Amino acid sequence: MVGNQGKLFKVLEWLEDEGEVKAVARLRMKILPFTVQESIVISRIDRKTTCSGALLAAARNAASEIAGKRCPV
Amino acid sequence: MSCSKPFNCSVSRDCAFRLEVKYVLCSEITESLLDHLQTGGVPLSITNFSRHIPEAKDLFSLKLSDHSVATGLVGGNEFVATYGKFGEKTGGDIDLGLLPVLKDRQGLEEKLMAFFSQTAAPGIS
Amino acid sequence: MTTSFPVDLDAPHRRCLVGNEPVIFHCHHFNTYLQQTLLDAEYLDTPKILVGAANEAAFHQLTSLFDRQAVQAVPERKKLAEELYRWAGFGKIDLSSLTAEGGTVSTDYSHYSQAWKVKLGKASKPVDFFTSGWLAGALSAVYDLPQDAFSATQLKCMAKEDELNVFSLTPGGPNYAVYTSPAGGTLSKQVIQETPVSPVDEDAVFQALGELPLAGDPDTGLIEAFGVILTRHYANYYNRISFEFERELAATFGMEGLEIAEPLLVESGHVCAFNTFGGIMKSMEWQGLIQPQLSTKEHWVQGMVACINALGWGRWQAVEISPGIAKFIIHNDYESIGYRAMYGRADHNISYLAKGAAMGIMDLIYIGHIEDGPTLDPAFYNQLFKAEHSYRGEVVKSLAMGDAYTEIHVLQ
Repeated sequence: MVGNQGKLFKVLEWLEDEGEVKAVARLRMKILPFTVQESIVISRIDRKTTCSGALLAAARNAASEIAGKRCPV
Repeated sequence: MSCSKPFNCSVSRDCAFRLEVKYVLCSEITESLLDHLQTGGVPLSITNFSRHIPEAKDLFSLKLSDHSVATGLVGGNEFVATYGKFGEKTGGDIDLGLLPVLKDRQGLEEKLMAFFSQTAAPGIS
Repeated sequence: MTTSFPVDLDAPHRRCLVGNEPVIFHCHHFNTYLQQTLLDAEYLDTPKILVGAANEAAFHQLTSLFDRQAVQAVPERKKLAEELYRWAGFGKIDLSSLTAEGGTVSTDYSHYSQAWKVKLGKASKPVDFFTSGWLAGALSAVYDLPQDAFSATQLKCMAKEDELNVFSLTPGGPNYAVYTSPAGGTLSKQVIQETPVSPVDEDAVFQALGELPLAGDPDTGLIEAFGVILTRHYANYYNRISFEFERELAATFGMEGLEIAEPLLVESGHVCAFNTFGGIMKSMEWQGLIQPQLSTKEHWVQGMVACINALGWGRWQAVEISPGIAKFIIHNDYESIGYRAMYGRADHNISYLAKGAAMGIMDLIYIGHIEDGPTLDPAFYNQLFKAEHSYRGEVVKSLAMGDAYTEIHVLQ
């Protein structure tokens, strides 16, 4: 999990730039079961946040779908 | 009424990717122009806004076909026509799906030309 | 515009009811965005909510109309239902192939499928949940059967680039959630507040807009106006899908679920404001009817509020308007009326659409300079609403929570 430190935050940052208004809110909705399972409050995600590979993959996929382009994180 | 250039138009796409053409005429839109445009059975509806608000202008709407409509103000000198079926993204290039639309546009612009009885080229862009 | 069914206009409350169901105008942008929000929660069975809410409204409305109009024969009932579906702008539907045993029905005009394709691109699954539920409710009403007598499945969808939408109805019970319509709900006593002096003759605007032929086209069943595709939709449908959605999220994930739903439900209102209000303020209708009365941006806000009051959303008032802050009072906003009728008093603000819409008015007029006629495209939307100085809204009073009316402050 430590290897993923900050990557979830980077996905959010990327989507904030690349997505439409409230794209990050949509991402939160899509990955809610994962974040709840890992006790991660999305509004408190920062550069130090670590998460599982499964959550990161889910976030990356959802971000790509929402932005309509591949998330490079 | 005769004008050297009866109308100018600017072309864009509406939010449903349909062709949206704004026509600016050389003179104001009169009831006789609307009578002319509805020849051939084109349904025309007029909403009398001026009945409620003295300074208002009345709205007209011409149903050019199932998928094309023109809307403007009586007494104004511009109107907007939208050509294309909702839900069919026609994209930037003319394709087969756009052919009936072109027919609607052509029909309307020919009527405009005829009404203003002029000889110069129309302002189709 | 004549219809074979009564359209009950409640002018003092700025509401409209058909078959005892409140009907309100909303555009295809709002309809698709709101549906997308529910479908984003793939871990919940939100299609059952979408279909169930349509079943609820259609069944109640048609049962009421058949009773009130004393329509007994099945062919006449089907005709009325078809006319209503078209009038409301949902598309075209032909019920002649359906019987008390169900059947299959197809259509080449559907508001939801065509809107989805235009706004969100090709769908991977059928998306006209609304018509699925509407058909199940309508068929039950036509044959005097229980509301949940049929299951409904969409087999083909134009949003998937199928040629037609095809639906199958089967007797034997529902494949959706079954709700009971709260009908028109209970209105609160309306005490009209003082507003700044306005050049806009609001009652005249209300009457004039009421004369616009805003009904589904006879050939397509779609309502094209103000640069968008409108529907005369069921307030109870929007309320049911929004509130059931947040309740399921809250039940499954607690406060976190509720907090995540809120911005997206408000955003639906924002999307609505940008497209429908933006479209209205750029339209020939606005130029002909409203604009001659306006000379300042504050007048534009007042003009827009006059138009909102013709949408059936309840009675809006702008009681304070300046570039820094606007205060909107809404008497009997449809969200609060619906919430109280469905669930009782709310323990949190639920006027999501109203909040997003109020913010959108200010963004469009004071930041977007809508009077200059900007192109209402996604780039402009992002520029406007991603801006750090865009407006934010606060619901300071809530009818749903027990206040006399809903009040929203919009400030930078």
